[in-house]
Amino acid sequence: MTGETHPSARLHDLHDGRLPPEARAEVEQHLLSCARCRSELEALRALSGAARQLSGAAPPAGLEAVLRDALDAEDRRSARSGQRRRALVAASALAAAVVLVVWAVRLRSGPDWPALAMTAQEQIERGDLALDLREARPERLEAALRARGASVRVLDLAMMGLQLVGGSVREVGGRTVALIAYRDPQGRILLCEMLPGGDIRLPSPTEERRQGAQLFSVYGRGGRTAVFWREGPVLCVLVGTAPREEVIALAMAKARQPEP
Amino acid sequence: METPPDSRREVFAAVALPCAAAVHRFALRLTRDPEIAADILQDVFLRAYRSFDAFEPGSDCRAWLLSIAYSVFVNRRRKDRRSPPLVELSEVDAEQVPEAGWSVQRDLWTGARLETALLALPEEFRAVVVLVLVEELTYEEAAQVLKCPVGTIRSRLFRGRRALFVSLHETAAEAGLLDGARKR
Repeated sequence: MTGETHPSARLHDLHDGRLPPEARAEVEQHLLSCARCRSELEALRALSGAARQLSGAAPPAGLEAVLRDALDAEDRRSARSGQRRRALVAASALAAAVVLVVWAVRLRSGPDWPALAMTAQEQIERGDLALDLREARPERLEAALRARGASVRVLDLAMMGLQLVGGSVREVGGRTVALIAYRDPQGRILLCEMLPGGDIRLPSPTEERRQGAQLFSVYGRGGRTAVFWREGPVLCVLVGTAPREEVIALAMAKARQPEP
Repeated sequence: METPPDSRREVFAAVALPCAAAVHRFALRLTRDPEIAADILQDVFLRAYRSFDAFEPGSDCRAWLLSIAYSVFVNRRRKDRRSPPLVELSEVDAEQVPEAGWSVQRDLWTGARLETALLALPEEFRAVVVLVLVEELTYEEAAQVLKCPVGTIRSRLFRGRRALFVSLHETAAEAGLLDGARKR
């Protein structure tokens, strides 16, 4: 048979039943005259028969029991994990509910004005919040702030040793807020804010002071004191890092008494 | 809707456990190590159990499990740097089959000799030969298990079978069985 072409690959395809009818007929025709290919086909059949016998080998003893044990362990692990997951979901739902309630309360009561005022004072003192207007004369600064839409009167605190630095107008919580900054002899910033806020509900103060009919709500956080009072529809606040009583005294000195 | 846990477990046991022996055989022939094969078997069943919801009822569970087994095996080999690199079956091994190979008598191809020859095959060829010849998967099923084209299965099977013939022929010759066979 030397020198003759043997269709080995197609012989394998024939054995595996993967030859289309036409090709199959060709290979079968070849087999009639080729002993070598007939031997190879015979060998392929013998190999397949022997290989099939290998699949009958008995599995190791206890194989199924080992797998059942592994599945039992997986069921237990899964049950524990399910309990943990359910507990986590419940805790998350509770936390989410608390956040929603807090959020709803905050929405109803609006921004935390004392915290906002203290943050603004801190930012101006650090230089993180630049003032739009640099003006040391109160009447000029007041005019400029009013021209920007702010309901404001600029306090003249020069007699108390406080120098007017300047001011800005910002939109906070949907309200136009006027900021007026002063510097005391120690270089500390005292910030006055005024905003239309007859309807604003302030959080519970640390302390309340009264002077005549005027009520002052005092808040102290992180070395800062914020003192709020109302002048008709305008909510006013003084914030500073000066000693608490000094800030309160300044507020009481400059606040307008409510009209009878 | 999710299957209730107890029912899910029962269905899995009924469908998958009968295939355990086939998966074990495949793992053993891939790894050639009974201990690792047992580990792979457990790993396969745990993975299959966890993802049983993804198994399509009525499809071939054995092919699905064998496919997981091959993935587990390949991942383990990738992680195990000590594993030797894959050896390619050379064209010489596959193509040049001695003429005498075809006259080896069927009764000389015992299970033990065939098993030895099978385990000596390079892994890629061994996997195909085991799946198609031993486990009797179709080319398409084997391609799915090994995640390769059907054409690759066909060529690897061709070369793997040729290499087996060479190996069986050599074994028979070394044992002095070939001459006897020829004389008959």
